[in-house]
Amino acid sequence: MAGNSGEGGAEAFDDFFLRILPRTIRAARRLTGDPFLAEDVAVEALARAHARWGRVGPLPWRDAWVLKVASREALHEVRRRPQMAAVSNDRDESDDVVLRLALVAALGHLPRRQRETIVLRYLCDLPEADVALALGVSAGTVKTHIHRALASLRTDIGADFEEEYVHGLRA
Amino acid sequence: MGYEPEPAERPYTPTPPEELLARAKRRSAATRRRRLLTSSTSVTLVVAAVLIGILVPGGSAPGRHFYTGPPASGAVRVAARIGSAYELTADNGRSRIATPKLAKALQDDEIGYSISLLRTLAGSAGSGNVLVSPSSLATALAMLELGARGSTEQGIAAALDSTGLSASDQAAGWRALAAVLAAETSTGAASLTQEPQLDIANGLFLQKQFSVLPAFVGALTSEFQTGLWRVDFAHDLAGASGAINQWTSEHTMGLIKQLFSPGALTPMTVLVLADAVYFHADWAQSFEASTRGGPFYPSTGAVENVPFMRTPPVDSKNALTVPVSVTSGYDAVELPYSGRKLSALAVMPLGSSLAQFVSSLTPAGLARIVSGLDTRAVELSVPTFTLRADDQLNETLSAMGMSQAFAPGADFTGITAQPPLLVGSVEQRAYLQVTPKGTTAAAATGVNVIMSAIAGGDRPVVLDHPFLFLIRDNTTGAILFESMIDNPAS
Repeated sequence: MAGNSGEGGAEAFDDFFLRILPRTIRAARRLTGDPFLAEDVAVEALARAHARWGRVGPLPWRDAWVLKVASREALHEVRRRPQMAAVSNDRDESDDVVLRLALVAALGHLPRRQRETIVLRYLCDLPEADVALALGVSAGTVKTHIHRALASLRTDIGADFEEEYVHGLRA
Repeated sequence: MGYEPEPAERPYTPTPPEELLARAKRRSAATRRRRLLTSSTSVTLVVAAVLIGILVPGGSAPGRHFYTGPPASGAVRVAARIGSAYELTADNGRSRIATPKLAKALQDDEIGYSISLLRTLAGSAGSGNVLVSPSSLATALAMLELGARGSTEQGIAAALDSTGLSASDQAAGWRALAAVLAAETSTGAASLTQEPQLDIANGLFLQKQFSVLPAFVGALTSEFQTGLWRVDFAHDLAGASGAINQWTSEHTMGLIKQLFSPGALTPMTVLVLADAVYFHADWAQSFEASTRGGPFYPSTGAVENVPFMRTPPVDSKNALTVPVSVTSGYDAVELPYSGRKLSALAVMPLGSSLAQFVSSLTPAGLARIVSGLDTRAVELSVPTFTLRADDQLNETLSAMGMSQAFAPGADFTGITAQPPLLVGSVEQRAYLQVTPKGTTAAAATGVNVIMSAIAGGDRPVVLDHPFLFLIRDNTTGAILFESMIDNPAS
């Protein structure tokens, strides 16, 4: 099983896995609030990367590729079992739980590109340039997506929505 | 599941990255395998899809078969009692429906594992008869694997030849396989339809007051329809053993009365996973009612005079017409059971000993033997025999890769958060009887978990040398029983 990785690029899969794993779990945990599920989501995303390592490994934005897959899976899981978030194992402050649920719901209403942009930029802490690479768009388009997405989120979550709320999830 | 007080919160300890890495690679292998299967969809898959699609929603007596349809959720209740032991039952939650691809992947694994098991047993048995039910053993191990983690889980997967499938994938696959088998057979004693009778039951016998993770029991009940029994190994070992034996006897029609050898279960036992299977089928085309004595040539020792069952000559109107292959390397014949969904495959090597033949047998080799069969009239002589086997399989399974499960340090944290567990013993009792009318077979497997501490001529086929005898499902290729008959008289 082991030892056959790394054929896809300069970085061996095992090294890549160990480097990106904590970030992937963190991103998934922000969306699910469940550390067990977050691990599972991260493993799923990285398993897909492993299965396609010949193609994913050489990508300069392979980090973003995994984070994008993990985020999509996490959102899918949260939506699939909404009750899960309410009985989450995480020791979220109740405000954070409410905020996360509100945000997850609101993210669901965004167009796919805007949603991916917000998730990669704010929940996965990727610089705008990396988000642009990962989504195959220009940095200007990323800015536009962020601008429009934040406007929608403000409308959805409340008039007093601030960008800091998104940043707040990063704490 | 509400039968155990459930901790309100499971404390989170991050899983070691290396373990997650191994998990990701296993999933990746499963993904790649599925992709491969998607690109080679065969008629078999379509048939399997149709069968599974139609049959999975079916149902039967709860706890007897693990293919029953999704029941509604409900409360826990006592379903049965044996002495001081009692069976708890709860209507299960929804279980996963295996995709045909998953079922096929598992079936392929099952054949590979069955042959590997036979090879390992043959290697350790020397000369002599071998009898084992790979499907019964695999079911017991698949249940155990649901509670194993880390390298212990990988070891069990390696023994089952299923490292490409996660434990839950396997569980779903087993359920689908059981659904196919169940559809082809009848359950219960009143077999008016003359279909083969196949009765499979799974049980978890759990020490009183020993709490296991609800997820483990949930997976067992939903995927394997495992009955949950509360027993007291610690204070009433005789009562607990008696309950397990009675359960085994009931589910094997009295053919197997004792699951574990004396002394195997101790007060240190905290749980036993058990699988029992009973099979009875008539031949689709009967042999002559009376048998006649004839010589049989065991691999070692003197020629034996044993009873042979025979079919009429090829030129008679009652001649047996079955898939057969007479080659320079082996004689092979497939004998369908009534309903023609299951059959026995007998293979007698000619140029080599049975042990040598089995040691080089592969799934592809077995597939070639089956595809080389040609349906025609044949005059056949097969010895009648009755075999019993009592196997302690610890060494066999260790040789197949799951040694970690038997050693201190085994990881069964998927079963309980309590003190570390390990497998004390895996035992199987099996029975096989072949008569002119048909076949009766039974097997019971127990896992004792303790605290740590080709085209030929038309000459007649006479199976008068050691031969391989497999009971197979024609649709999936799954091997229910496998046996090496070295000496039918012993």
